[in-house]
Amino acid sequence: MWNQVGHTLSNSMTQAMGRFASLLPGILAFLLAVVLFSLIGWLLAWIVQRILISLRFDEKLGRGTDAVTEWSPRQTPARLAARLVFWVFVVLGIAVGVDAFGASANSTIASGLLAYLPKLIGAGIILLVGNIVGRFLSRGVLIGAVNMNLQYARLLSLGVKWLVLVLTAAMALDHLQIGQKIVDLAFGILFGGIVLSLALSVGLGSRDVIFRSIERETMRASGAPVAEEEEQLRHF
Amino acid sequence: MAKVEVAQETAESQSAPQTDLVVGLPGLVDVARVRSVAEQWSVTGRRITIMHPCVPGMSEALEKLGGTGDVRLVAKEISAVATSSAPWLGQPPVYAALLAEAESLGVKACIILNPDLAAFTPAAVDALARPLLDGGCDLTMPLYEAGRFDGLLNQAILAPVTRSLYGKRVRYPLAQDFAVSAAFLPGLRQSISTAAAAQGLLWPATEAVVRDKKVCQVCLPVHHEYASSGMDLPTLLQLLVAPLFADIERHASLWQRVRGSHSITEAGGGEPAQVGNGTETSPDPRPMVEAFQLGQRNLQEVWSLVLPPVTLLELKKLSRQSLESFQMSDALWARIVYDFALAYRLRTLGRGHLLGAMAPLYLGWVGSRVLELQSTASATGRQEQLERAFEQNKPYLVQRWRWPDRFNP
Repeated sequence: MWNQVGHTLSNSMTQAMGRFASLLPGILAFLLAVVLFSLIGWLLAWIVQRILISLRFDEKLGRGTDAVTEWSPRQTPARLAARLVFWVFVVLGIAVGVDAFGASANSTIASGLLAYLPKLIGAGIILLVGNIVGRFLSRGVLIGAVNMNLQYARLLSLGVKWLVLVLTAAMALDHLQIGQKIVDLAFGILFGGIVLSLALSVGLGSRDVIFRSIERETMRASGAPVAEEEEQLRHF
Repeated sequence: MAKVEVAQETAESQSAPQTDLVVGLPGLVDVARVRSVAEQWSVTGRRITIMHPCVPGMSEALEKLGGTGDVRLVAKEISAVATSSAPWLGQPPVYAALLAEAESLGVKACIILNPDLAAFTPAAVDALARPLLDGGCDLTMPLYEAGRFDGLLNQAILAPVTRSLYGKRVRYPLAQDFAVSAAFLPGLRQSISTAAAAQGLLWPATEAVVRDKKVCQVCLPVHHEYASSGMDLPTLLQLLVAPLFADIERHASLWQRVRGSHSITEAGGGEPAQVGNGTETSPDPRPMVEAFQLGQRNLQEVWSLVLPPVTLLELKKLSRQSLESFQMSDALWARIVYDFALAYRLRTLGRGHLLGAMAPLYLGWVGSRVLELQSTASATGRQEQLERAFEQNKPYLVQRWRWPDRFNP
């Protein structure tokens, strides 16, 4: 009996090793494609950056790049373009590698994983972009609200950040096709809740501001003198 | 009385009579008003060409105004004049076009005046031109009449930074009225014709220092009313301070070698009169101090990306002071400005956000200054102290500029 057990174990081990060995060429092809395309991408990115710098791309674009530099302050437009070229090639490499891996692998688990991989990558990109957008918007709202003398600036900024993060998480889960109905429902409740609480807090907190603003506009319209502290100061 | 001739740009260059001075108005102006003032021009013995830009297609309408005489009026088509986001601020491409035209006419000096026409008088033109024609200066900058609470951005940032970095005690580095000699015309035009310079503002005194030209200042009894009152502070900082920081980045190799500062020849003599003679009512400093305290409570996270821990600690202490004892030290303010200039260069955070985050700090400085000046009639002595503090703290900027990561006290 022990002989049979040993034989069965040995057989299953051989089969597993055989399946793993059959995946190896695919893995190797995947790695090779990624490395090769990354190298090509790096070379092309370097060339693109050199060309753009020699053409004074950053200076020529001038004010038109303000939006770009706001979103990515540490990168110049030339460097951003070079990075874009590099990452396009990396993604191309991954796509080619995945294709090569799929062609060499014939197991159902591998093909299932392969089919799911693009969705995972997509969800990862959604999360990354959502995080960047959330951080940027929350900082912008915080600074803007402080400069408008709003006492609840931090609350407003946090609200915006969580709105974007919740939206991003819901989109990522939807993309992964995980718990779709529950996610839709939960997202609706959560998003609506945040919007309602923000609207209430801003509405209740800004009553005085709105009242003063309307009063000032009415006085201006009727030609009455408006007493403004700022008018005694001239910044420029 | 001098007569006025108005001609189209193309006709001018072919049959241009000799001109001593060009008076450039770098913005869209009320042509009828310019003409009526020019007709009464009484600067004796000088042939003057008054030049102003007009939007493309408008020169035909202006052509029918005509005549001959000592004073000529020229409308030049400059498309950049129509795209200005702040018409009360001169745009480098418009300046460059006017300076190029003056250069081509072979004038002795070119006087640029604010298009609001406040300084468009023979006396002002004569005051600006005289140091160039008689005194061997290359650039004349104005000393305006100002109240204690006028031009605060100039007092807080523009003038002290220009003095400490470039070593010249120019009181109004972003003046919209100035005069340029024939010798300095090509250099100034070239420096503002580059793509990088065209995006910012024109800092004539800085360009004069870069090209080793002599700068003079004259008292100009003029008070400009800028249309910036409806603008919020972050936008104003973005318009005025961001170009200064960009200029600092552009001339980094120069200002790091400059030590100390020198006074500038002041032609015409005497200090400019102070508007109100210190009798104007002081604004309430409370809203400014409160704006600073609100910033301190909420913007810690953003400020910590720009300012070193020592400065953050000092700001924290400052925010706890009562209104009566609230005072931002000159050294602290100087280091804050330098840190923001460095963050602008390093792109530590988006530049719009950076200038927005600076606004509460600036309001803190304004509050402190208002509290100090409530019992003082003149701000001149206090301004000198502040500018000296900027000079004394310049090594801090140089060190941080060279080793931004290493030097973080």
